[in-house]
Amino acid sequence: MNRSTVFVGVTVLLLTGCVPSKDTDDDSANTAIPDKIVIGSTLPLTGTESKTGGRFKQGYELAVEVENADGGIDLGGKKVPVQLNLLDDTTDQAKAVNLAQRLITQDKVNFFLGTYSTAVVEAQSTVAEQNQIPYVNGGGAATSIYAKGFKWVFGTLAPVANLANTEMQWIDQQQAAGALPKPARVAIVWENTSHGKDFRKGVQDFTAAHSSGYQVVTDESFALDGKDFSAILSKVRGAKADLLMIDAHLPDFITMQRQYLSSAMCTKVLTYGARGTESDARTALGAEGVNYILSAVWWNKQLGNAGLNKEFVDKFKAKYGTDPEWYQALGYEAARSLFTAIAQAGTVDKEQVRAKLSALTMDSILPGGKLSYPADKGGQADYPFVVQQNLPDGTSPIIYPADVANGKGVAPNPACKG
Amino acid sequence: MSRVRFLLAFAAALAALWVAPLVLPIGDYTHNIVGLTFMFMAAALAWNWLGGYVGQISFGHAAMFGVGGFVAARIMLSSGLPFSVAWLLGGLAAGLFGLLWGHPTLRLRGPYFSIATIGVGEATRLVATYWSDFTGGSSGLSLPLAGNPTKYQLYWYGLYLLGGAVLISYGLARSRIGLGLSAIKEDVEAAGDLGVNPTLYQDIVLFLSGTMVGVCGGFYASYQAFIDPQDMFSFDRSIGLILMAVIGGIGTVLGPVWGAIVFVIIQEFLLANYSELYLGLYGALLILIILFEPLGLTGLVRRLHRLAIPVRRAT
Repeated sequence: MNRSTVFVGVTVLLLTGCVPSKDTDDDSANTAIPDKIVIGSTLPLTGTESKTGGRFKQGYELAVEVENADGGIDLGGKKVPVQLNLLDDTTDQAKAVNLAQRLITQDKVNFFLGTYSTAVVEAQSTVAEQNQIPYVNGGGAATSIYAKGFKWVFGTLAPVANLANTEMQWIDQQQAAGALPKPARVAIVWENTSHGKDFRKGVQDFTAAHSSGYQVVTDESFALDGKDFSAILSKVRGAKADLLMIDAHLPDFITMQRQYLSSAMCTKVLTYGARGTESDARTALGAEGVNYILSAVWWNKQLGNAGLNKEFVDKFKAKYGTDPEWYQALGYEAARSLFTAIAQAGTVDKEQVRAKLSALTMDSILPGGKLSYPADKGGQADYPFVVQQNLPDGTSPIIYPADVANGKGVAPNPACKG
Repeated sequence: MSRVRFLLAFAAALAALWVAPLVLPIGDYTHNIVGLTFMFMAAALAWNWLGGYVGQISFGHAAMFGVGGFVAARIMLSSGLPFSVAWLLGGLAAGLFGLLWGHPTLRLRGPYFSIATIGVGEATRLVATYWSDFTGGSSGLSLPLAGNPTKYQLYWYGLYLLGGAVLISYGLARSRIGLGLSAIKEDVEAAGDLGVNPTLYQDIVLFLSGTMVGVCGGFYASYQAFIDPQDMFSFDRSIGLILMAVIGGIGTVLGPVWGAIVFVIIQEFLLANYSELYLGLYGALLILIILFEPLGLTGLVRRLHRLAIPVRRAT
């Protein structure tokens, strides 16, 4: 390189100390009543989580349709229709971030409904926080999302640790009734994500608090979107586990359960966390392939045949011709809670709507009947789970807690020999 | 193009891009995406130093991108050093990591080297995914919003990265090392007979390439404010760098810059405006470019230039 090249290079280096900055645009104080309220959103409509993303889309779109059916959200006596601006983030963090940036800063959406899966929500929520726009998601359950002190991020999914704890409570009942051995040998297999870590913590906390009843014999993690789980399953088999407590997302659940079945494994209790009742799983694994799988979910249509639940299920079936699962319900409730907060604020002013979301307590289809975003949980909803079990007759009744149960669970798995 | 003309054009382009956001009504989204594209341009140029100049096609550059990003993120989280220092240290770590696997594998040529780099990239991704103490595992690492440059400011940092990468590309191509690299690309044994040390030259280029890609990883960590191994070390990222170079013109000084424009900006545009058709449209565009113009957009520009200004023949 000659001197002129070096000169330009040094000039570039000197310039690096010089970077313009810009005051944050303050467009949040917008109290005028608009002609429409634009909600931005991205979901994984293609990519690994496309099936789940499609379900959340159904939930969001139904909520918008219901809200617009009587003219829209009431802002100071004027009904303002809602428009959903939904883009495909392809289950890609960078795209989810860039599209959120586009929707917020270029398309100037008023509010944001979040995407699905913990890692993508975790990346995207930073954009909402930086741009100070209310962000409600139904797809991020990990507590790490809500432990950052963010003020603009709200989550409808209750913590995954609660999920594991609720399942363990049912297992504990079966053990007390003599249906399961004491101490029971527990294998914990968790996806190496915040989601999986929360699940593992839930099981560990419960077994530690009931140490005479449980012995953890395997504690293994796996990477998301795995293709081969045979090594982990071999360890579980070698450890002679009675309870196989797994946390997995839908694609990994289907892959792992297929390998579990093909290796002729059978544990007295088997769970994949929230997975097991999905129609995709029955299609992929066959009805027998999902028998006796235990699952704990954030919502189930059997929760009630009256009030808000009936209204939601009827409207969903009328629009889509099928029963909703918890994914659609959580999307629906995330959108509905945002609409409720906007109506309570009576304005599209972002700060006022954020304050209403923080203070929100509304009737809900979720277990417990109420939805709020408590500040001490970082804006993450906190409510009990319902435990289901797939039975050979093709049903998946709620088996726990007793006050909402409509069926009786089976333990140990009768298909296991010896 | 003569050296003086190139440097003048470079300085003018740099100055124009530096001033553009201050005088043109560019929206925040466009501003941010252009800043991110500058970074991808720099990373694609860095890939081209090895893949284009030496002809060693690497499918493992995501490993250096990830190492640079995570080292920079860890430094920012734990030491309080300025982000620019963290990026630089992340880049150096990535360059050294590149040498660690590159020194032995660069003795392989052609498809053998490429296959080895696939293994390196995937192995690094798996190690990073399970090394939770350092990378946070699949949960990743969140960077604090305070103390990090804003996306607005990252436009200029991206521009500086690009400027540095263009200068190195140009300098390498015109230097003695560049001639040596061309010789190695044509025939490594003949180059050795002529006094070129293939091992040393390739190590130097891989170190430079890894360092620049690692710095880009640090930039990306600051841009996203959240990184995880699945994203940082993904095979798609390595493929992306290759595609940028191929689309723009592999082995040319500025080709990867044009390739990055197509790869990032057009992809973003299609995704935002035709989200249901974007994969088909984007795939068709790539096929057309690769099928009809093997030298990529650079070849297309050269062809158009020849058509517009016919070569003057000596009379």
